[in-house]
Amino acid sequence: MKKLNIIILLIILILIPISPHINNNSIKTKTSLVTKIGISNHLKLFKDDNIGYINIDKINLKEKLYSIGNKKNNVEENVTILRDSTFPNNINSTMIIAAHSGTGKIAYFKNLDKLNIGDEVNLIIKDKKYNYIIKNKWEEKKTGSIRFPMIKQKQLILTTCSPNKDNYQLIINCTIKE
Amino acid sequence: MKKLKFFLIIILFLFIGINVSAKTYSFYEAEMIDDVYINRYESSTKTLYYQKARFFRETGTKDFAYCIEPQIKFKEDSKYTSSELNLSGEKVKRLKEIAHFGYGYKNHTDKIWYAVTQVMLWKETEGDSNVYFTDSLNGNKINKYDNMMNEINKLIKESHTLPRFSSNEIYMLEGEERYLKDYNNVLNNYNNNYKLKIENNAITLKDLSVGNHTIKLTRKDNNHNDPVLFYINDGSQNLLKTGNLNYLNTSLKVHVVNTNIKITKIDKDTQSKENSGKASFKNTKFKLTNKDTNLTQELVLTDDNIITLENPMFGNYEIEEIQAGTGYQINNNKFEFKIDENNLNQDLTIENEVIKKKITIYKTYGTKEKQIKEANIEFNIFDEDNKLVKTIKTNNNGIAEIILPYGKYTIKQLTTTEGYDFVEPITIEVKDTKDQTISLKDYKIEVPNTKAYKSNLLILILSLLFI
Repeated sequence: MKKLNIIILLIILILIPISPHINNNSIKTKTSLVTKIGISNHLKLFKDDNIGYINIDKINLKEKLYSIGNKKNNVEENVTILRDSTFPNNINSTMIIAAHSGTGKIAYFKNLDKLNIGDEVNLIIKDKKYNYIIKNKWEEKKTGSIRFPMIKQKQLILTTCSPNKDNYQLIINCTIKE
Repeated sequence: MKKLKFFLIIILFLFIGINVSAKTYSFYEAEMIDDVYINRYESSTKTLYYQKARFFRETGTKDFAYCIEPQIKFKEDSKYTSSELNLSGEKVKRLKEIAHFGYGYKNHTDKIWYAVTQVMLWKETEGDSNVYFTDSLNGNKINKYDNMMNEINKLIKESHTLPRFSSNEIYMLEGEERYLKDYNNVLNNYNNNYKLKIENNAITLKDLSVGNHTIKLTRKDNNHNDPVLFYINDGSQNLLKTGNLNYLNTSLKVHVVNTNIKITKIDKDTQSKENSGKASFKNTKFKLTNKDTNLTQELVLTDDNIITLENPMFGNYEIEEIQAGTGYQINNNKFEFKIDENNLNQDLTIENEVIKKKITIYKTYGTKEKQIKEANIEFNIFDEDNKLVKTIKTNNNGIAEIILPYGKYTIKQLTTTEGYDFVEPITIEVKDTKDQTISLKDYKIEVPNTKAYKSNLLILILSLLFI
């Protein structure tokens, strides 16, 4: 039995580095881990400290958004607002939102590649709704950073790993619907 | 035979010549003029002669004639020859003029005019005599006919006066009508060879073709068939018969011309009529001022780049642009020129500078906090007809510049880093001269790893084992 435990433990140790969500700082205790994993979807139905939602009807996505400083604002748990963002209540704001693709429950953006130019993306931030239209969509080689034009308009960037092309990053550029 | 013919011809000519020179005339004392009396007092002999006025006439023709030597007796049946008088030219001229404007001139038809003319002629030739009118035969001197003498003198004086115009050489435009006033007020006495209207001592020049014309002005009251002639006889009083004078005539030189003002617009940059960008010379407006008359006229360029004004009046002109064509900056210069006989045509070339501005593209990338200049990014500039104007490239400072003339343009990014999205095409409109900078900034931000694996269930099992 001990041998089995050791084998299992070794497997866990091997799996931990390659499983991104296990690396997340939010998993500090076994209890919190279970809570997060077990009832994450259920929590969505209740009032939380989220500041709003991202809603993309075409891919049946509706997820909570947390403020940049909130510890829940990380890709291992939620759709994440990146820290270089400016919120849409500002003029010429740039919201940059990332989430996992691939498979699994946190792969919120697994269908992001199914979006096309002209599709609508909504943000609800502090009870105010912002409607964006997809203007462009492209993939670039993964370098740990993405690049997109800075425009004088309210802008929304969605990004995730390319679900179809290894080592590429999918970027979707949206502008506010006039 | 030939010699005989030659001899006969010479004799014939000599015979004709003798006959011509031998022509003689005779005169007689004709009808009296009632109630008109003339005295002549000869101071050298202190003798007074008096008579009732009467006509002298030529035998045969009955043409009236005047005696011109009061101190010499007239002898009937004397044979006269027509010849010049042995008097000074001025005196002869004076006698002719008195005779011409005396009896028989226009309304001088009353017989008294004959007597008045006769007395005036005698006064010119009386020597030491004094000739005057009296109220009766050998009566008292009267001035009753002085007004008539004054009129004759006035007519003589007028005949010495030629019409005087502002100029005797006139330049006028084709189709123009010009009214020329005679400042000496004698033009009514003249005819002209162009049958132009003369009225109120002014001539109206009209309907003259392009070219040079000489309008001859000649006295119209020379209606006698012959000139004034003198009749000479050494033994009898010489006579004269009235006739035409050798008036001084004059002429006007009239040059009928065409004038022209031609304005050609050119583009300052192309130095031709080729417009920069989408600019156009159409609707350029000018104000043309005749500085002599202060009359102004607006000229509008409706087509192409040339505007022509046909037959502007002579004068000093000033032209200024008051509205530039579409897309051009107004030319604020004033152009002065003269249209006259030496400058019939005026060609002006007026250039306009197109409205243009420097477009600077400043290309950077990075974060909000730190932007890095990006070199070697190319942009295509297209005009509104989608025609490529130029390709520009950013330098090491991330700057690409181009000067664009009036028009609408689209800037399209040509190159970028691999896989990266192009900047959306930018539309700009050049309609003023204020330089414009377009900052094209890219965000380059770090993103987390967003690749997820299907391991959640496994991790859950393993976690439970640890509990």
